[in-house]
Amino acid sequence: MILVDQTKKFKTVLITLKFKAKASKDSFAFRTLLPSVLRAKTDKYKNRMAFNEKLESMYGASLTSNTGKLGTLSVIHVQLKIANPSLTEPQLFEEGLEFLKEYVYGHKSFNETDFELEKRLLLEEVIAKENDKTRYALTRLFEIMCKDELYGYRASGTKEDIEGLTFNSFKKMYKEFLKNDELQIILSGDIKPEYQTITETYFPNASFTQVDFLDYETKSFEEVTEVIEHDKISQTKLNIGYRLPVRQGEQLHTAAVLFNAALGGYVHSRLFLNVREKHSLCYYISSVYDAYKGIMFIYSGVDAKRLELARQVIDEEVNKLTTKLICEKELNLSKQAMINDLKESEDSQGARQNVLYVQTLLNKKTSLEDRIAKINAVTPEQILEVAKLLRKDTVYLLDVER
Amino acid sequence: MEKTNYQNFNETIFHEVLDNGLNVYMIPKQEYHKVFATFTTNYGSFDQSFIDPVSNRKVNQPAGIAHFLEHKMFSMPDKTDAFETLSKLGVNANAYTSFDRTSYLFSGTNNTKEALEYLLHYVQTPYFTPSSVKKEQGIIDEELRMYQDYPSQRLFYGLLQNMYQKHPVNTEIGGTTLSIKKITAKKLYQAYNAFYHPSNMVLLLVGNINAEEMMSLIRDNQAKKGYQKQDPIKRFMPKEPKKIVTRHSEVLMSVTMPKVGLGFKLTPKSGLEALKQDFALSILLDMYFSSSSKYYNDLLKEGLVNESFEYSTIQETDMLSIAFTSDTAEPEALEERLIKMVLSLKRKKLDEETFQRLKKGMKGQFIMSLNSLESISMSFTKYHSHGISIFDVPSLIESITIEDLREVTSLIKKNCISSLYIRPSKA
Repeated sequence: MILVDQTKKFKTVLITLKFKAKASKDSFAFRTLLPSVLRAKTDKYKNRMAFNEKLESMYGASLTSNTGKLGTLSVIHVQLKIANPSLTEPQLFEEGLEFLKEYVYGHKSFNETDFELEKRLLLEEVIAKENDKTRYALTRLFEIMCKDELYGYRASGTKEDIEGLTFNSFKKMYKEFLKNDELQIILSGDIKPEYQTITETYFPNASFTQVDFLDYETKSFEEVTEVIEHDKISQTKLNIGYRLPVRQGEQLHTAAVLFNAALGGYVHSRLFLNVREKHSLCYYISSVYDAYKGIMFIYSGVDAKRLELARQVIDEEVNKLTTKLICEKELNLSKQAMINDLKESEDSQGARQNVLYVQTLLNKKTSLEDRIAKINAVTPEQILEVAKLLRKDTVYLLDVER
Repeated sequence: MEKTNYQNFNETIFHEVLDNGLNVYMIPKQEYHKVFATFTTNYGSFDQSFIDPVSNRKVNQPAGIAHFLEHKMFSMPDKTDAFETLSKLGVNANAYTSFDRTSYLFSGTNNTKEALEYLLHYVQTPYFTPSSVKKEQGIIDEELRMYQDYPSQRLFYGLLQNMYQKHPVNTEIGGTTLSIKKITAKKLYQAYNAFYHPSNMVLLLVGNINAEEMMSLIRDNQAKKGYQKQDPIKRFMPKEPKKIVTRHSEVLMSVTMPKVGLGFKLTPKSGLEALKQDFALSILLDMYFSSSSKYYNDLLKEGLVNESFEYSTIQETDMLSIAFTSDTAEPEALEERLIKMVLSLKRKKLDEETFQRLKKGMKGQFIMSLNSLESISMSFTKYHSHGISIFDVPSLIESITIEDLREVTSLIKKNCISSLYIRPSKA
């Protein structure tokens, strides 16, 4: 199936391939490694240099890929960005398609040396991610909080998984990938009518099946888990995970998004105003709601000496929202900010593609106006209803070594 | 108001210099929802020494003051916070300080006229008190600490410190824990009065705007404020010796793998020539170190680098250098190989075909960057400070020749190389 976002607003044309399969711990490492091995060599481009030279000669086209989880799905996302052919050369679109096809399917054979090189690079990338303490502390929060759940598992695979991949297992999994993954294509930009037909001839296998991909896995628990780890850092990372059993498409979904916005989604939000501005306890603090999984988390970098006060202020702010009705005026600020974000995302080609893709997955096509109307209809009572569903699950601290 | 059309890119720029000296530019893109506005002063972390236009005396200020001032501009005399007010208007506000600029910005899809008036209002309303300055020291100190935990930040500044003895590029934009303690309300006013005069500033609007309507709003707004004429500010930059400070240094940090930073200090030109020099150097580095290059692929195969490998040119007022950074298991071996590779560039016969392919790629990437209002704004202000328009960039790239590349290779000197390793603090 080919989705088209036709607009003359942008100077680029994006051709995106989305390969989707059911997410499974056994295939994360393979799926993360696959896009790099594919670009190491193809039947036509014998090495990375030849491959990248081709990109440069297509007016500096860029090929990006990432592999991620979307609820219970694993999606390999491959995107070719080219300058609008009408500003450069008319044949650039078809050249791009041919190149993408070669990239995915032009592999009569793989080379073991290339495979080992890409494996090393991925392994080193995964290890290097731990240097970013903010991100590392968040990964640890999810690992601890969702210990036996798919969500808690690193989507890029663990070091051990990557090490465990062999050349033979890789080749076998590539064959399975070709057979089992479902390919969806999204074209966006100044898409001429014939572009869609040409795309179909290059990728006749594009299709789409509706699946329920929301993640309902959730543990039962009585007490809050608390884990403290130490590192040679100068600022304490304080992360708190909550269960918020409201998912995308459910009745309270928009209210849950607004609840998160009011708590810590924006600079006018309570956490930013109270923890950072009023008490100067941190430089960053934010809350994030994941509607595919039904969880919310707060992450912050705080002054180690005033950690207890920070925890106390965060708890107070969360408690206030769960016990008292938010006033209309404050709620309107969050509504306004969200509506602004929605409209701004219409100005980003990538964001528009994501909206289109997720709407297709959910089988719910709504216009910008409908989405805005939904936001405006949320009441303070609904925010309180959402807040009452919130349950603190895990506190994870990456603390300064003392 | 003057109007310039750039037909190749389907873009138009409107420009006017107001009576108070403020340069106003507009790039309407009516098919967008958003408006992106930046109000920028030609004042950054480099400007620590200048003639105070009020007292006419030379003053020296603490490192980090431009960034500190940026933070403090959000406090208003009525105790409100400009950030909050803009956020109440439903727009996203932000500000950033670089080596030579400070920009205040907002982007939004609603209330853009109100937001613009307010942007002009708060940036033109300085309000600093001793107690609010003290409070800000706490927040900025946390910000500096946060950066201290970022290995890439430490690597970047550490390398600059190894290479530059007097040039202020050797200090973090935010200053240091010690230098920010020296900042007072009085010093902030002094800096503000010198550098926030409209004649030292540029206002740029990109996006869903009606240029005539916005220009008249800005004209009226500024006319009411009664700014007196001010001459260009005299600034002092210390004279930087050609030599580097330290050949090599090491830092211990919580990293999973050693990190190498390798810098080459070059002799810079000034003005537009500096920009041309930078482009030539970038193309040269792309020819030998981009993902399509032999050198890079050799390093990959030898196991000396991974995807974290990066190279860049650092071109700022009175300075030019090359920096390589990478995670690696073998810092010494990587450094040795890289130095050999870079020094060999002088002897290379530069391949015309590769050169042309890379220029074509750069042109395409320029066109692609025009998608983003943010990217247009950022590049616009950068090129404006070099005296050219953003839409002149492709022809500037086109004008670069192999000769220009050869000229920059001659700047690479064996005794102007410095390296920094970050090693894991845990065994």
